[in-house]
Amino acid sequence: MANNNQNTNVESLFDSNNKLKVNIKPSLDENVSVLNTLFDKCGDAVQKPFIIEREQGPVRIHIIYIDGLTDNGMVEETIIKPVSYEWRYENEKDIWDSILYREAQTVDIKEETSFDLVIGSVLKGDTAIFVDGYAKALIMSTKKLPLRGINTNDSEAGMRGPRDSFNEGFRQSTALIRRRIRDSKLKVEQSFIGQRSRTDYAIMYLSDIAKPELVEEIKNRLEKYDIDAIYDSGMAEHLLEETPYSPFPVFQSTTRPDKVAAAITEGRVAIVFDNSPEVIIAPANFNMLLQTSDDYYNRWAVGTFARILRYIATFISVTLPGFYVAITVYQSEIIPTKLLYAISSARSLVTFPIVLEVLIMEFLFELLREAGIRLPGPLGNTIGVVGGLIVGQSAVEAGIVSTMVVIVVALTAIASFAIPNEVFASVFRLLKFFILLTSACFGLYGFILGLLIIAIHLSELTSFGVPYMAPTVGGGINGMAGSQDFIVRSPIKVMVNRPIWAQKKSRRRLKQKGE
Amino acid sequence: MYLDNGKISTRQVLRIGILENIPIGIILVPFITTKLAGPYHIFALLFGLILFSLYCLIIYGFSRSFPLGFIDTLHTSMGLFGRILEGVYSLRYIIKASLVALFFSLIVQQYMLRSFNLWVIIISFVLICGYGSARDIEKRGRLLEFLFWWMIVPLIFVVVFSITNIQWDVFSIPKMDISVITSGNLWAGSYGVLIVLSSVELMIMTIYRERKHQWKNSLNIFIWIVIAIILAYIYVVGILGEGWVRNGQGSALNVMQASSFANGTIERLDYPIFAFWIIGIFATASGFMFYAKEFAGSMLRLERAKSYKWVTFATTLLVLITMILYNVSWFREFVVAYILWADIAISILVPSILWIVQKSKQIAKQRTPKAAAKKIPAGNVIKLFLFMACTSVILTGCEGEDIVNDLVGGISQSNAIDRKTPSLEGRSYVIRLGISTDTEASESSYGFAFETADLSEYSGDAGGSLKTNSYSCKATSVDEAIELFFSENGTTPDMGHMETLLFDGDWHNYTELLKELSTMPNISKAISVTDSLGSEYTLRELIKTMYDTVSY
Repeated sequence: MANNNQNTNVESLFDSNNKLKVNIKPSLDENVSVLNTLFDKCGDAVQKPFIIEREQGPVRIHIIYIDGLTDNGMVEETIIKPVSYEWRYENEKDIWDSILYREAQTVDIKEETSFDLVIGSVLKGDTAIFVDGYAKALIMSTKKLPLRGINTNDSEAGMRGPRDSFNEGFRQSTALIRRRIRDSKLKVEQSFIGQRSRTDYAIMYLSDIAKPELVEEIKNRLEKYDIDAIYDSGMAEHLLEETPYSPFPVFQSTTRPDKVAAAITEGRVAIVFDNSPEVIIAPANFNMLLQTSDDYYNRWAVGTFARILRYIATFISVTLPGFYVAITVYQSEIIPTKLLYAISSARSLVTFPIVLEVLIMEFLFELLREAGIRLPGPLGNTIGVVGGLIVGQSAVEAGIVSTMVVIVVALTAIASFAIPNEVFASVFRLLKFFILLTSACFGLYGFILGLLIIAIHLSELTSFGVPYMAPTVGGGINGMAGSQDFIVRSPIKVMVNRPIWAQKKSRRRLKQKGE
Repeated sequence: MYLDNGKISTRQVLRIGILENIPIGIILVPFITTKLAGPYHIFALLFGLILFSLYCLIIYGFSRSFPLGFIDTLHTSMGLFGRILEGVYSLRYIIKASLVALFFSLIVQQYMLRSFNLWVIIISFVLICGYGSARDIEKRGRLLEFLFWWMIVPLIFVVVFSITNIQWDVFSIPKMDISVITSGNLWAGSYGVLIVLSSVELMIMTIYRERKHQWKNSLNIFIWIVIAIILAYIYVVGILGEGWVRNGQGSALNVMQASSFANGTIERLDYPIFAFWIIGIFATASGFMFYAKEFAGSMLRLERAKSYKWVTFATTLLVLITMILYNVSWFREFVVAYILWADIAISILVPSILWIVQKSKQIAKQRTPKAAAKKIPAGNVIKLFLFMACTSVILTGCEGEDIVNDLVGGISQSNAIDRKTPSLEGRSYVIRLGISTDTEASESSYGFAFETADLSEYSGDAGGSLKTNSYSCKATSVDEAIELFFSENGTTPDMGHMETLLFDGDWHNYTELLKELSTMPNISKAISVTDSLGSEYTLRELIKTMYDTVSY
């Protein structure tokens, strides 16, 4: 019964959008009562009333913070000690101004009148100070979040270039970007999303290069929804998409700060989310998702060659199993005679039809991959080796699959690993089954129909108005200069202009000094 | 944000124009000219292209006359009559889409999926065309811009890899006399070319969307189409010969077999090339469905974004229903008559009427003495002249009923073969096939001797020479021999990798079999043929010679 009453009391403090509707009162007792109601049964909430001595008499203050998110030492050094000890005999007409401008030994301190914002800050690791007689609170930045350090980038490793990686720390991520773009025009517009999680995010862009309508559109989409919680940028990405049923990502997500910095200087917009090591960038298209930072750090010919390889790998990762089924089941005339004889004789021991054989092997591969991810590092690698060598060989010996199918599946897997963006690569792994299905039904005709369906879908996709297949499509529109950074990565000297998504007046990115 | 502006780029207009108009033409123009004009096919092509040029000029003139677009002008200028015309246009394009889809499905069945029911191919193709036509013009522009090289690159392969197979003597110009000119065959062939290429009328709805380079765009599209058609004609007729080409609308596909990578990297390049030609046909069929949907939506006064999905669905359904109707003889006759006599006329008359209505409205609006005295500009007089010229050609008539009948009648004639595609291990790979005349039996019976690969101990090159098995039978056709082989051995003979064909005696004794072999896409036309007289040919040369020398 008592619990019910408590719940009712708590609920009466919030509006329908889960925002606190009460305001801070001048009476400290009333404010403390609200705090007690809000943080009832919250063992990590630390509250402490103080009475500080001043010439005009004792002043009551109340401090609250969350243990574990806050630097306790900093709270004591910068506020409790100065207020209660060092300035105790100083005479100031206004105690509030005295604490704010003289006593608090920190720069990052501000005053707030909304209870909702105060509580939001406290839950992020800040410390709130209520002073009796004032209908406002002081918010002091004392965050000390449990974070890992800046690690080496494992998910997007490269041969050349910086190796640092974003982590879950929001401020660390923005700092890593700021470190690379030391320009006051780099704007960091911060807000939060999620009624329960109140996840911080920052929209980062260069104000003289990014199109204002693009920034506005991103802001609008972020503010459009009320959601319980956002735990990773991936969730926000899905919320911001225009085409939620499409398998293709319309944002580029990356853990590489140099990639984000490069995107921002191209006129794109980055969104950094707290608790997420992946920063998302918009707009994004097919071509961008196949690029790596290495491409720009290596010689242009090497970068170009790597890109061509990646395009071929992408095509192989989607089409090879389907093409194999199509030409072995329906149009075997394509296969050179000796190879056909080899495939046919190898299949003499296999009991399953070719389609089933390929499906079994692909399923096995996906199973191994999933198991490898879920298991801890070294064990995961072992699963891959054991699966690849032992299971594959045993399956061939047992007559479940033929050697050629093992080669096809292995080659497809290797090709899919050459795709630099993991989210993007998983789309192709999925579409591989689609092409396999259409090819199994109709041979080469079905193979082409399957590709056509994918092509139709890709052609209609856009990312914030930019065609997904640009610059293959949309050539010549609005002076699109995409071909210099497409399959061929032109030398840096040649890439004079920024792409279409930059403001028209800021398209030029390279010129000789004095030009 | 960047590109959602209702416009398409110069490159998109060009690629739409090329993809919507070339794929059908490159297959059908050689067939139509040789079938209808016989030895005068080269003249038929020439006159056909002249007619096509005139037609293109008219279409270009109309596209310039309606700066708001043909559909929107029709929509706003002609009231109820305009709505009726929108409906007529929608139905026209549904019929045309169904014809393209039917023609395509028949070829796919014959060439790629012989054991499949035609309807399975039709439905899958039409549904994908429906999906492809469901977008707005910007997305369509992007789609065809993206697909462009998918179709063009394989065609470039054909051009490059099979140039050495062209026999230029086929193009020796025959003597012309007055009887040829008055016989009608020549004109029928020319008109046939125009009918096949009449899909260019779709450009009336596209050209105006790119305002800066309309003339340059139109000229480029025209040049692309003409060059592609001439190249297709040279390659198809030059490689296969007039006789072979005139004997089947799909025979042009055999040209693709003339191209192959060196060292047998891909033994039969024709299949991948053919597969990518599907993309071109998709562009044409989905183009007709796209505009059928646009006209229907405009007629019903629907909001574009929301309701057009339903219109697209209805259009797709109507195309399928139209294809069912091809089984009914009166409908087939109607379509034949319509395509031959009315379609091109409508494509010129309706825009002409609209142009006149628009002009009279403009003149009525500016009814000042000066404006009233203003005459129709000289350019418009030329347009009208061209219109009259074209109409008069239409009225000369045509004898192409057989061709259109061949196409639309196919739906009731097509049957899937009973034998399903065997698995790899269920096949016997034929290395050599010997054929002899069976003197004891009737004239039409032959003796077949199959030599097949024995793969039971096959271990590649290291294993030494390949062991073989033999089987002999007597049959009246290759197909029957295959059936007999299957019934007695339990495996299907796979002739796709046959190396040699041997004839006992003169090949002239086997013309019926050669004719059958010419329609079997799985048998490579590049294999060598030897007769017991010691003559050696490739199968393609032999079939070509057979069709050229033996009259049917």
